[in-house]
Amino acid sequence: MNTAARTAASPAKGGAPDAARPVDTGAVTKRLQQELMGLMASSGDGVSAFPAGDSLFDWVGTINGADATAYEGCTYRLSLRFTSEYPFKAPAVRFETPCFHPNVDTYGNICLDILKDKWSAAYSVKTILQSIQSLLADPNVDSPLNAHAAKLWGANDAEYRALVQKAYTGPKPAGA
Amino acid sequence: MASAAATWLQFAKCSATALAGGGGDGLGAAATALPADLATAADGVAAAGLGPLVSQQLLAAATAALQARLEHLHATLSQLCNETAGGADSSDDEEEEEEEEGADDEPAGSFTPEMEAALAEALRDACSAVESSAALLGQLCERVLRAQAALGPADRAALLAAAPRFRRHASTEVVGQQGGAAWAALLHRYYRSKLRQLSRVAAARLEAGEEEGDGMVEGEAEWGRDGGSCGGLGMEPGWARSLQDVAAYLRLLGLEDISEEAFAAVVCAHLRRRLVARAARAADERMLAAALAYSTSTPLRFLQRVLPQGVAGEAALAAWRARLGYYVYEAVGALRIDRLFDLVVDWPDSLPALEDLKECLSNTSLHRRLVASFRRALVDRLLHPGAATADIIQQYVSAIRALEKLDPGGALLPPVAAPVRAYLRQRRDAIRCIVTMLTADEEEGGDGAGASLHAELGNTEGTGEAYDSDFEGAEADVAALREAERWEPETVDADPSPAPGGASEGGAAGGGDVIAQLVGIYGSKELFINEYRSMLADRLLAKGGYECDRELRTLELLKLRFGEASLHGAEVMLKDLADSKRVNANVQSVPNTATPLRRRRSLVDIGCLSATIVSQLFWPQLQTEEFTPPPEVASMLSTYAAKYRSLKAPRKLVWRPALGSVSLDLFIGDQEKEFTVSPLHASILMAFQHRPEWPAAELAERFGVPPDVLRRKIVFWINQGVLGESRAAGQPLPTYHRNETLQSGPAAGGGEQEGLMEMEEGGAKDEHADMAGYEPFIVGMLTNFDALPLDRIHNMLKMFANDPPYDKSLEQLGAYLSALVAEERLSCEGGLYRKRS
Repeated sequence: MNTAARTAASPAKGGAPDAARPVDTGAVTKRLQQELMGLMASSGDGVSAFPAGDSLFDWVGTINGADATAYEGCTYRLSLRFTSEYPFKAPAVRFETPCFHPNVDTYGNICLDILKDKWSAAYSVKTILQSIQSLLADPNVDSPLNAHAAKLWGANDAEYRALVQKAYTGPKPAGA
Repeated sequence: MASAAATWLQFAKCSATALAGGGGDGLGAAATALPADLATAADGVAAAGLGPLVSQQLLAAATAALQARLEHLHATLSQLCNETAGGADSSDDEEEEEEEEGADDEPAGSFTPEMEAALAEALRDACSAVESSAALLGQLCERVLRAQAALGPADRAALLAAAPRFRRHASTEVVGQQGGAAWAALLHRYYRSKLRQLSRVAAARLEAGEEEGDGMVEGEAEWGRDGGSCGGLGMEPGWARSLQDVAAYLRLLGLEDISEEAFAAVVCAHLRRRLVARAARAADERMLAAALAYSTSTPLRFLQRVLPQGVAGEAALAAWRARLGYYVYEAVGALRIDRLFDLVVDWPDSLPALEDLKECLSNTSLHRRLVASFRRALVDRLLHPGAATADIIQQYVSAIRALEKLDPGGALLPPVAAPVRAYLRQRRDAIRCIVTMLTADEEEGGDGAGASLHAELGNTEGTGEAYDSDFEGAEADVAALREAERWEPETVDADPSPAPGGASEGGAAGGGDVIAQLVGIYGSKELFINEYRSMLADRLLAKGGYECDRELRTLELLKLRFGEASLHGAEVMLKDLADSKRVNANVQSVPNTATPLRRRRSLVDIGCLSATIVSQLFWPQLQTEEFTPPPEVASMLSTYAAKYRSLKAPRKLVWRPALGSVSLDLFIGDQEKEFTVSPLHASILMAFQHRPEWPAAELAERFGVPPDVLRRKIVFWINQGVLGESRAAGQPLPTYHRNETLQSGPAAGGGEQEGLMEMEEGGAKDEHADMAGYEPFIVGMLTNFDALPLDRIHNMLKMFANDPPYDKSLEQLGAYLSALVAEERLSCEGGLYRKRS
């Protein structure tokens, strides 16, 4: 029997070279890359994201409205913009698809505590998107960006539903 | 005044009669004297001082008379035109080809002797009419001139010019209403049929064996001796006579231009046809010399009759000889260029044709055409997905050699090679192909390609770092300096569209150094060397023993070319193998009882194990499917490792059990079979040694491999009839069992086929399994981008998928996406892939 073997690199020769990939990118890209791998490995929670173009710092996210809510059947596109301080600073996240919601303004800006003062480096793209998904079903009417929506929420379900559908324009071709 | 008028009238009448009467037998008319009455009338006119009017009057009268006398000619002309054009339009080239084939039956549109006679006669009549009128005119004018001495200079000139003016008028008249086109067509046909007759006779004579040499060669000597008459040619003398006459008449009638145009076209067409037929027949022999010789035989013989005799004729003939020579160069060159692609395919059998072409190129300026046409042929016929990479490289190599032959200056190659190089850069397997061809064993390769390239490696002419780089770099400066030192003017400006900044490509033409050209495709030798190393690794590990003389030789040759430093890694690899041989012997000789080993228990015999010990640092990544070896083997490995450690501490072995090979003797039933298989194959078989049946999942777990990998391996044994496969209903995975006797194939009848098919299916599945790692990425992408084209998906995978690293080609991805579309996971519309919701 002839079997190939490797000599473990002797101390004199230094450690084993992990010549897999040149790690020339910074810790941020490394982390974002890891998050991407994680997202890809666990698909199908109604949230998804992928880098938008050439860089890892711009992502496109997708959220499906949770079942049994006014947003059921809607697919929302979001943009996520990371800075080089990520994960110590939250990414800028906004809706690209118009969304009628007490905490989302007409420009798509989102009022969500974890994207502002409650941000922690433990959050990830996935948790951000999941938080937003749950925000859709459970808005914080105390600090509304969209007062009309806040007023209707819980008061007039039918009209609220109609306005959500009216605002919703379907998934836009993002990043193209 | 009245008498003057009467005199004038008398003169006008006389001259008209004389002109219309026709001066007898044409050409001799110049000698005849003026009729007496006309002479008197002329004198009278001169005396009356009417001289200045004479030229005008005479010209008008003569032209009118000529018109009447030319009627016959015009009638003949139109009749002949109708008759000869009666058949198919014979100016069509293909038609002519057919006529040439069926040489014996008179094709439509050719001249019968009667028609020729009619033409000659009509022409002769016209000639005599023109000649006699002109002569008469001349004499009259002369007489008037002499009689009336006191004429102004303008009038004198008018009188003197009357005859030449008449001749000019006459040729316009001869051309007549039908115009030059009709004449040109008729003469074209006439000359063609005459030339065909001549060549037919010449061919017949050749067949009769009167002349030596092949179809084209009709010796110069023969041509010389044949100068006077055509009797020696076996052609009836009438052929030459009538042709000569017709040509002479035409010259006299001032139709020289039309005539010359017609016979030039006929001769060239004739030559061209001969050359085309010839070139189509043979590419493996030279045709240029024969063609040149031919051009001086039949066509020149024909031209001798057509051109005027005498000194002027000799000069014209010499000019024509040169013209025909050039025409042959050009035509042969064009023919060869049109088929250059095929010639390159046939390299080196097409060498004679290329030598022809080379000579043609040096005598003409067809370089541009060559570059344009060859380039187009390459792009159309070679650089498309249907061509195998190896074929493209082979053709490229042939093209390099062929163009080197054509143009040693190397000016032709860069513009032609540019698209090939660009295309090869896109092909992912091109490097591997090149390396394979370079290092392929002459014996094992079998096909000429690899062998010839390997031989090229031994050709150390263009050694050093003189590879032709398409890219700039530190070495490029050195190379450029070296180029500059041996600069010679480029032979021609062969590149029709010099690329901006294409200096490096055009200037650094490495000439015929094929390897430099091939390596230069990638601009850097690093890529090339890396590929070489990974192939070397495969090759060394696949080897049974430790012998690597041939690899060593290849390496030495490569070192000559690329320098020691860059091939250091490869050198270490070969050294590892040599060391392994020694270390292996040492390890084997360590007794189990040696002191440091005594503490270790369960030392087993390792006589049948030999290891290849490689220095990880210098070897490329060894990609393998790792598996857990069976305990028997594992204990052997650990014993070996322990002994190694006792010898070489602090080094220790890390095993790669999946690499390597196992030779085993298999006893099954009453049969014995020998196999050389991979360790995993052997291990699988070993598992069945003690237990006749294994469920797939359990077996896969035992070796720590996925079930589909296991299946792929086990199919080998199933096909060998050693193992069997059964699948219980409702079970996703089959169960494998040991056959107690060797089955001749997996089943009777088409069993083998089935087995193979299964294997193929397994392969396809496996490829997709390979791609399946990227599926989440693809789905993720398409979730976030509604629709993406193939190349965008490809690029994004390249950018973002790195576990496993994305190394598939666009084609592979396309195939995988199509599979996903077929599974209705994706949809594809207008090149855009979408996720199906």
